[in-house]
Amino acid sequence: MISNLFETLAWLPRPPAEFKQRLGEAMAFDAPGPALRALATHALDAANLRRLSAAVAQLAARGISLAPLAPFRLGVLGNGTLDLIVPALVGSALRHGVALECVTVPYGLYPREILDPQSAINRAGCDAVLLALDARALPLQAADASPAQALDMIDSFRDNLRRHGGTTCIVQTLASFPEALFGSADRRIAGAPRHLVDAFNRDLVARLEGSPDILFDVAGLAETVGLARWHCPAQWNVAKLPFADACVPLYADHVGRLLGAMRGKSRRCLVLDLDNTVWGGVIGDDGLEGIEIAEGHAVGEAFRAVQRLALDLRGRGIVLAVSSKNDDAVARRAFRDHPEMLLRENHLAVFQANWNDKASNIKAIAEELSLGLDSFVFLDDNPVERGIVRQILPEVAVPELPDDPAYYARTLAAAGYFESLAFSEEDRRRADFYQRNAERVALKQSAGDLGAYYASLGMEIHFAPFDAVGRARIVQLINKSNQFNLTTRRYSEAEVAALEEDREAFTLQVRLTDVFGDNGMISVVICRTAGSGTWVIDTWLMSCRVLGRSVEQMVLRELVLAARRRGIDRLVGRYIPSGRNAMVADHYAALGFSRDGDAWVLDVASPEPAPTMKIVRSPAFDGPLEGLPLEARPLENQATAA
Amino acid sequence: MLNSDSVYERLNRIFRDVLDDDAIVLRAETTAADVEGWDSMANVQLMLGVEQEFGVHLSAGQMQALHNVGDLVTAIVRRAA
Repeated sequence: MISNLFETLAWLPRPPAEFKQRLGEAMAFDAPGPALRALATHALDAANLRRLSAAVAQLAARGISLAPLAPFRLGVLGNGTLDLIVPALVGSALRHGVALECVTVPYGLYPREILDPQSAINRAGCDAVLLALDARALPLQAADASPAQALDMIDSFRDNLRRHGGTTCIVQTLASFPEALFGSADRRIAGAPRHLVDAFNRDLVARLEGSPDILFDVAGLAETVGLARWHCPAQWNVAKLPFADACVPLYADHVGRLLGAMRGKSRRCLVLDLDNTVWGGVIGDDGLEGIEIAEGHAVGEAFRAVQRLALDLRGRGIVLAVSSKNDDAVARRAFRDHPEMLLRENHLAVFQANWNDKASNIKAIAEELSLGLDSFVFLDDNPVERGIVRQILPEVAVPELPDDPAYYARTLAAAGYFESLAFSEEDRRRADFYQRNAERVALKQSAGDLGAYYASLGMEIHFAPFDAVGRARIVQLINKSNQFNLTTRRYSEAEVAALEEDREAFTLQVRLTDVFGDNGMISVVICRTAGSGTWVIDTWLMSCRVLGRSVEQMVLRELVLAARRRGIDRLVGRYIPSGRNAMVADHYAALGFSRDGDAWVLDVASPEPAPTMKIVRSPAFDGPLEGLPLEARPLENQATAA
Repeated sequence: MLNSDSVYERLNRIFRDVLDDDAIVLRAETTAADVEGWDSMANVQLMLGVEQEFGVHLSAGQMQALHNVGDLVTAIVRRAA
C-alpha cells in the first residue's frame, strides 16, 4: 500500500511463507551469517524479527560467528518500554550487515545506570549507547520550561557515558505530539509544546557539532510517518510503548542503518535499469522520441524524479552505473541526444547495455569498480530481474517497486541504502574518483545458475492461434516491436484479421504467466505455407521483457510439433536486418537452423526442444484441422509440465 | 458478524505466534495462568496482535475487565459486529 510505504517497509520483499523453517535450516549452517542477513532482508513483522533475534542469541551462546556481519554491542536506554524494540533492533541490524548484541537495563533505571561509573551499562564495553528518550523523559512539560535545561540533561548523559563507559551515544531528536495547545501559534509562542520541541531539536544538532556522538532524527522519522500514527496514547498508557508498535520495524530499521553506517556497511553504488525505470517505455521499440521523460507530463515526471534522485545521490558521492537489456548504441542515444534527459553519460561510471543476464552484468561492474557486491543497489521495475539478482547475488540490495512509477523515487529513498553519518569534501568527489565515463566492461563469466531461478518462477506458456480477442494486441506488437523482430514486417488490423481465417497460414499468439503474474502477450509468429511441405516464417517477434527465459525455444517447439501434425517437413526462416534488430542476428543459428543462402532451414524431423515450463495449448488449434486426414490430427492436446 | 469458532482459530494463531508455541489451544476458560509465557509483556503483544488481526480497539478499561479468553472472544465479537 502506497499510503503506508514506510511502516510496511515496502522496499523489502514480503517474507517467504516458510520463514520459520528456513531460519531453522540457516541455524545449522557452519557460517550462518549470510543466510541470516538474507532472511532479515524481508519486510518482517514483530514476530519474525523476534525469531531472528532469538536465533542470534542462540548462535552467540553456542559461540558461532556471524561473519561477515560486523559484531556490535549496543546499550539501549529509554524512558519507555523497550521490550518490543530490542528484538526488532537485533533482527533489523542483520539486514544492515551488523550482528547486534543489546545491553539493556530494567525499566525506569536508566538515569542511575548512566551516572554510576560501576553500572552494568558502563562496564559492558558498549560500542555505542542508544538514548531512546522522548519528550516525556525531559523537563519540557512545565509552562516555564526551557530547552536549555533539557539539553543540559542530555549533555550530562553523553558526558557520563563517554567518561565512564568509553562509548559513543546515539541521540534522538524529539517527535512533537499531535496535541496542539494554541493551534498554529504553537510554533511561535515560547513555552508552547511545539515551540519547545523545535528549539530543543535545533539546539541539540548544534551541541552535537564536533562531537563523535551520532544523531538519530526520530523527529524526521515520526513526521514522515505522521505524528498521529507515530504517537499512540492508548499504547503508552497500557504498556509505556514510546511510539506505536506498528512503527517498531521502521524505527529498528533506521537504527540498523546507523549501526551499518558506523561499521562502513552503507551502500556506495546505484545500478539503474533503463526501460521503464529511468524513462517510461522501451527505447528499442518506442524509439528516442517515444520514451516518456518530459517535464510537465505526468508519466514523464515520475521517471524524471528517479533521474533527479540518482543525480542528487551522485552529488553526495554515490557512484552511478547502468545495467540494461538493450542495444548499447540505442540506449546511449537517449543519454546523448534526448533533450529532456537529466542523466548523461558523464554521470555514469559503467554503462552495461547488452542482452546478458543482469546478475553477470552487475558482477562485472563490481569487479571493474573494485567495489564489493555488498556496496551495490540495483533498481529495476521488472520483478523477474529483481528476483534473479536477489537469488544469484544476495549481497546486492534490490528494492521492491510499487506499480506506480510516481513512487519509484520515494521508495528508493525510503530504503535508506546510502545512510551516512557525515558529509565531507571527499564524499563530494568520490563519484568522480570512480568515474570511468560510461565505460563498458567485459563479462568474464555467467554469475550463476539461471536455470534454477527460472524453474522457480512457475512459468506457464500459453499458445493460441490469432483470434479476434487478441487482435488489437497482435497488431500493436507487429507494428511496434523493433528489437526481437526477425523480419520487421508491419501489418494492418485488416491484414491480421484476414490471417485468422487463412488456411494457408499458421499463426501463434503467445502469453506467459509466472509467479509474479501475467506478462500478457509476449510473442507473435506467422508462418505461411510455401510449396509442399514448407512453412516460411514470415514473422517472429518477442517482447524483450521475457528475454533469456527460453520462450523462443518453447515457441520453436510449438512450431515443430504443429508442423509435424500438419505434414510439414521443414521450416524456413529469414533474418532481415532493420538497423534495430541486431540482437536476433543469430536467432536461427542458436535454434539449430542451417544456413541456406540468405535463409535458415530446419528439418522438423529433428528433435524438438525439451519443455522447460508448463505448456498450455488452446483447443482452437483443432478447428482448422477438420479437413485433414485423421492421422494428421493431434492425438491429444498435450500439456507438458517442466 | 464474526462467529466465535473462527475467532478462536485466529486467536490460536496469534497466541502461537507471540508465544512461539504451536501447541497452544485456547478455550473459553483459559487464563494467563494456564499458558506458559503469558506474562504482562506477552499480554501487551497479544493485545496488539488482536487489534491488528481483528481491526478492533480495546480500551484499557475494557482490557482490565477481561478475565479469561472467553471474555476476550465476546469483546472481539461485540466490537467487530
